[in-house]
Amino acid sequence: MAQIVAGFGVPHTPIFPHFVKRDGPDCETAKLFGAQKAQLAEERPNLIVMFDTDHLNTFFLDSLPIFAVGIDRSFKAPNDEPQDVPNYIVPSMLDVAAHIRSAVVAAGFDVGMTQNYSVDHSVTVPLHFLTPDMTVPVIPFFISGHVPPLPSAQRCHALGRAVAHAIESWPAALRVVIMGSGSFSLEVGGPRMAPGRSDGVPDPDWAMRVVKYLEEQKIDRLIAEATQHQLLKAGNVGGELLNWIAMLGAIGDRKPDYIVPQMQNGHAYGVWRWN
Amino acid sequence: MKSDPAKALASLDLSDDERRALLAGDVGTLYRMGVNAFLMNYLARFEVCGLDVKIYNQRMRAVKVDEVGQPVA
Repeated sequence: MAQIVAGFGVPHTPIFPHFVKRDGPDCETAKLFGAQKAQLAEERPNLIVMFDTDHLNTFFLDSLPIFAVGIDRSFKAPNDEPQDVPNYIVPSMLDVAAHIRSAVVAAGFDVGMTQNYSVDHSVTVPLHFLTPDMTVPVIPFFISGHVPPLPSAQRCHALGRAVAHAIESWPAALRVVIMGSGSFSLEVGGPRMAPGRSDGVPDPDWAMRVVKYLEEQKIDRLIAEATQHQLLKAGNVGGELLNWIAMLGAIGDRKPDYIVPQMQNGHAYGVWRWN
Repeated sequence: MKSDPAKALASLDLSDDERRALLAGDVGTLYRMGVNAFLMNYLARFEVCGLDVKIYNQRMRAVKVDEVGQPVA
């Protein structure tokens, strides 16, 4: 039977590959992703399921699912040209992805799908750092976290649980790592940018509160406070927290090994391992 | 879009006000009209319609918004 062996929370800032190339392996971002890369390798995953918010590159305003899963044998990444990121072909698992979708639809979650698809930096940047040889299959699970109305935090957490049940009902032995990709507080291109920049962190207090709740395993509190109002107050991409909440639903009620915030970017690096 | 934005936009279904604001790089007005800010950020990235990161930032930050980022009068 397939089993979930770890959870990872990751940022996906598109300029990070350029910064790491420019600043070298001793810069903060290289070290933080480097630590996660080593811990991920120790888990020997056969599959990564990544909860992610597309930035209107895979989908667009003319066709925008609240939830969708990528179902194919592989996908291209990235489709939005982040600097210093190669063009990758990422392997996936079509049969497992189709099984997950069928199982969660049966459980009451009306999840769309995309085939013959590509993904943007929100999937690619974490993989660029964590699995750069692209040998571990990845199934992207898209959650609409940028364009209101957003799905509720309760719904995303329950979706994560349903995805976990689906994975655990897959008959083959797979070691599955769940990832949640995104920021806690971030405004990109909107009025709440910092002066002279293309982004900003409108609600650093919220971002720190999220870190505290994660560290203290107060997930019910996190879910209760992660209303649409709060997520939008946290910035126009503040809804990316929903990807972490879905990941938490999938891995169950566990204490993290660590949560390391990078508050200048309104995000964090988190690892949950239990074996 | 770089060399002749008016020509590049000619076939798009835009109102006169929308077209005028876009060609002028008036991202503040476009935001108040309801255009997605994340998408408009690409105008600065690719430096079209007279925009770059600095100009875009100044014009967008001049828009008064409430705590969830919605424009206010």
